[in-house]
Amino acid sequence: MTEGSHRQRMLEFFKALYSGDVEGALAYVTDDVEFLANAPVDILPHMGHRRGKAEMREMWKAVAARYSEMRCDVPILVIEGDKVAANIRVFFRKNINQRMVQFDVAAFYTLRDDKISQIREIIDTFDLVEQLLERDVAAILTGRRSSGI
Amino acid sequence: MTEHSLWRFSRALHRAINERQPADLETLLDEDVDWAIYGPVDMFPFFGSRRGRAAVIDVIRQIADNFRVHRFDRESIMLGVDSASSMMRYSMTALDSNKPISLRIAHFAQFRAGRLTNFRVLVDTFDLVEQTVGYPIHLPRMAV
Repeated sequence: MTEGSHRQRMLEFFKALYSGDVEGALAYVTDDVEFLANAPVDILPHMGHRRGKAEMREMWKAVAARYSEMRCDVPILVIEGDKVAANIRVFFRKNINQRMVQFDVAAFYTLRDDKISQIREIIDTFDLVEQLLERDVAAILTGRRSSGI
Repeated sequence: MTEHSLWRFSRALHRAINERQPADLETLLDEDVDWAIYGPVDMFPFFGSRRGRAAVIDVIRQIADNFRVHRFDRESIMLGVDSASSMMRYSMTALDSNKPISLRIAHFAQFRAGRLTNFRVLVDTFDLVEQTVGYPIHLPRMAV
């Protein structure tokens, strides 16, 4: 496939995934897809290491169930052969109180036979935790605020 | 074949951090470079956004005052015509505490005429904070 068609497929994948269309997103990954994103499992138990479509379905459904609205922007997309890197800006609206969560993801994809076979993500996890907990954890750690987490 | 701008930039960046020699880096930065390292600026003042060559050189000095890079391994790299992205594993020492820090970092770089015009860095910041404070941060068990 050409770089242009890879770009188009990746944008379609992002659109499906970040609109909550889990089955649509799964159509873009291989059966043995591997996912790795480090994150604090206490509040993001669905993240970490996942392998295969069934585990991906479970993870993406867990995310979709927690947010009433999901969308993304992709300001940077770099493609070289069968490798893709994306800077994704994600916007989620929480089910529990309708507040927005916004964070950036660096996602690196490996493609095989025009499908995604590997996903590795790096997230500004500290910011994400603060937004999910709605607490200024940095202020607590630096002593600007004394209450515990 | 001309060397990709990323390699010159990478060498100059690490020289600026480890040897405090920013002269090479300065020549590779666009005058109006747009620079951002995402993370808690309250805890790491060198995180955040910077605009312009002088501001970036200043922030590199701040990083050099705080860390020494021992090694980095590129786990994934993509080179575009005037862009590059890498995922890397860094081994560093925090100079104030002498603590070893091992960190996964992703960057997105854009160049024009061999000079860096845009740089975005994402770090697994929760992991970085835990390594820096030296203890695990206990979060409530909740799925949010």
